[in-house]
Amino acid sequence: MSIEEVTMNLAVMALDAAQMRQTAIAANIANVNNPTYIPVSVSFEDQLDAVRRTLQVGGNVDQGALSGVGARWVSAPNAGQGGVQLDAEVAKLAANAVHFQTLLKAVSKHYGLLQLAVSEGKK
Amino acid sequence: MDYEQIFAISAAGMASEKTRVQVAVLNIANSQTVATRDGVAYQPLKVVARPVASPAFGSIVDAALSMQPTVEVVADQSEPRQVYEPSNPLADKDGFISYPAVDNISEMVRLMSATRAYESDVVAFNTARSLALKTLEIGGS
Repeated sequence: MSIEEVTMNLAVMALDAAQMRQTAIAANIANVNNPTYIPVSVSFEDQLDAVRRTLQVGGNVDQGALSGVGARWVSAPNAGQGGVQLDAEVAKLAANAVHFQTLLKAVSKHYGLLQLAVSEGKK
Repeated sequence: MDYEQIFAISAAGMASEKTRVQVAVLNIANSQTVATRDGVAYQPLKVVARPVASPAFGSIVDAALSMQPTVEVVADQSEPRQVYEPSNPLADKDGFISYPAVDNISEMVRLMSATRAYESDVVAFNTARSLALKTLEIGGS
């Protein structure tokens, strides 16, 4: 497994997770006036702790370390808050939008490198 | 500068200001409620805030950056206001009824300062977001 394939897999999974999170936050905001609604969120970054440890110990990450990692829906009732906190959800929306743009930038720069290699440095 | 951490701090500030507004509104709404003969009365609430360091401890700078405000709502232990109204059906044998110890002017001031603090938190959040987006422009478009 090449490093490039693992990097692209991780970046694409992170992009998927960011997009799912955007959907989850939009659903939460849409249900702000619904008292029986249970807020949803997406779990992805917390699954990367094991991957990070593999990287620190082994020095590189192969496809096997990413096998159990994936973006998942998590139903998260707010402990003691009751329903959707609108200001918190809007803050998460803005943070997630910045995160998504950062990931997009990373993926496009990565493809730019590949394009440079493919075109042998010529424009 | 971990922009996610800055967003979390601003969001925690907004949540605590919202709690202050809720408590001030509740106190103002209940400022004219009278205690019943059984002693059931409105207990004024107040908000106590202190910074709590989040679990991610590292250097001193990280610890300072992770000080998010948390608020808790506690009951105010002040004595109710006694007003002489013998014609009120809820008056006791001396003709006094007791109102909760809510000072409307103080509650209005708290409401206004909480609103301004909330707006400042939103400005801080938007500034951090613009900085993060500007950072993405490093390396050309």
